[in-house]
Amino acid sequence: MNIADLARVRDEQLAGEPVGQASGAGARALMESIMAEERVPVRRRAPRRGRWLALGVVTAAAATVLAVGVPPFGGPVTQYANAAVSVKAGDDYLEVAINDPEAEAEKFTEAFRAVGLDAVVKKAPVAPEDVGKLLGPIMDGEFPPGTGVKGSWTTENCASAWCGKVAIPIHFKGKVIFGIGRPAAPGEPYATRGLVSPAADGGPIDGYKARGKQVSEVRADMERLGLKITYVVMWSNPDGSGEGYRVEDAYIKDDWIVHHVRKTASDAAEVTVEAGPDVPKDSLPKVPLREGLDWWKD
Amino acid sequence: MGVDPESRFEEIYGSSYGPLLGYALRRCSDPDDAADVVAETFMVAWRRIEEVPKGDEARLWLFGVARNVLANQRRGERRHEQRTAALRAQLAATPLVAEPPGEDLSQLGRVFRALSEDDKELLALVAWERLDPGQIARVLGISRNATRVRLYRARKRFARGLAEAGIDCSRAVAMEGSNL
Repeated sequence: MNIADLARVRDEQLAGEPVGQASGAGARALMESIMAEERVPVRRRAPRRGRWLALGVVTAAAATVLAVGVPPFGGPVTQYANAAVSVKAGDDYLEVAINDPEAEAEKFTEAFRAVGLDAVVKKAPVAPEDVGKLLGPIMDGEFPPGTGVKGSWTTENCASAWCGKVAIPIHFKGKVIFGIGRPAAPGEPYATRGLVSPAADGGPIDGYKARGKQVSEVRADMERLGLKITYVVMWSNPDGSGEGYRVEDAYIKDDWIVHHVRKTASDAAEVTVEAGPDVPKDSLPKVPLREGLDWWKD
Repeated sequence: MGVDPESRFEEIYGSSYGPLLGYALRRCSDPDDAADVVAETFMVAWRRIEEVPKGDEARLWLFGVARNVLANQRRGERRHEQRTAALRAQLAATPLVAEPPGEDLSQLGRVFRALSEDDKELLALVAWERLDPGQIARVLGISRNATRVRLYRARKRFARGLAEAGIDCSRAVAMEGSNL
């Protein structure tokens, strides 16, 4: 006897029964019922793929300013580039190519202002993989009706350090704050969340994946890596989306299921868990947001 | 991709329905729960059809989704009662799965059931789904090296349990389709 003998049913046996075949009545009815549902794709993070409409690439050596589409009476231009960054403004979006992530923040500010935004650019502490990327925007003021902010970035056809597109109401009159990622100091809270890519289990792991594991297992992995843990509890909706907030460790049960883990500093990780089955939505006490998220404030 | 979502889904459904039903039936004591897991898993695949990998990878992707569905399933909670009505009726009429599984009183069964859920699942993926460590890595979303380490440890714990129960380990831990 071996473990295979403990299986309630084997695939070969099932294949010999009508119920085990995709063409069987039950299977067909299920498939048709699923396909009758309108496909509402689950919203994912901003895609890495996308088409970047290449701006004129400005080399670091050519520290000249390129302004295109200058209106006759001295208003904002539609394209602007200096040694640090190229910015192109469309009707409701900005295309941004960061050429020199280490340039002074003022150089970035100059470019965003040139295309008409009341913008400030600040350096923000981030994980190594996010250095040189654009953060934000943080916007302070009233949004025009029906507008919002959405960002995406691409590595395709990107001759610069970072290329991306920010959907933004260009004629927004309030203050806009962008960040450029700089390497965080050891222990300094990240302005964004980094990936956890540890060596654990005695061997190399290419990208730690926590999804579906129990809290106890992930906690042990994080402790082995020397990472301090904070928790976010989320409640999932049937459509795959979810909402949640930060909760004290004491409320987290070992057998809850982990959704994902992100590093929040070189020595800290934030573990997002699914609330246990008997925990009503928003019933746990909230704790304040973690440090590091206020990089944009003065 | 060049293939419309409907054709792609039908293709995935056709090739993976049987293995996925087997996967669910082997892990649910109630066939109705298994039908619900199959329905929810394919529902996720339908919504995320662009993310489902091609070829045999699709089956592994579905096992990974089913594992999460199982982890979140509450006993007796049926999210797809209507759409699985015909499938449940068919399952109920199939002698293979219609009767509740008798308690496996063998010592080997007891030792296996006493393992942690993670160890059981790893060994089951080898012995029941006949997956190799690379395939298991994709189901669990971990690296191949981590899978090998975890499998090694699970097998050691299983062998230790068998030894304590007085079972000849060398034969009992031989797993079909595996050289582990």
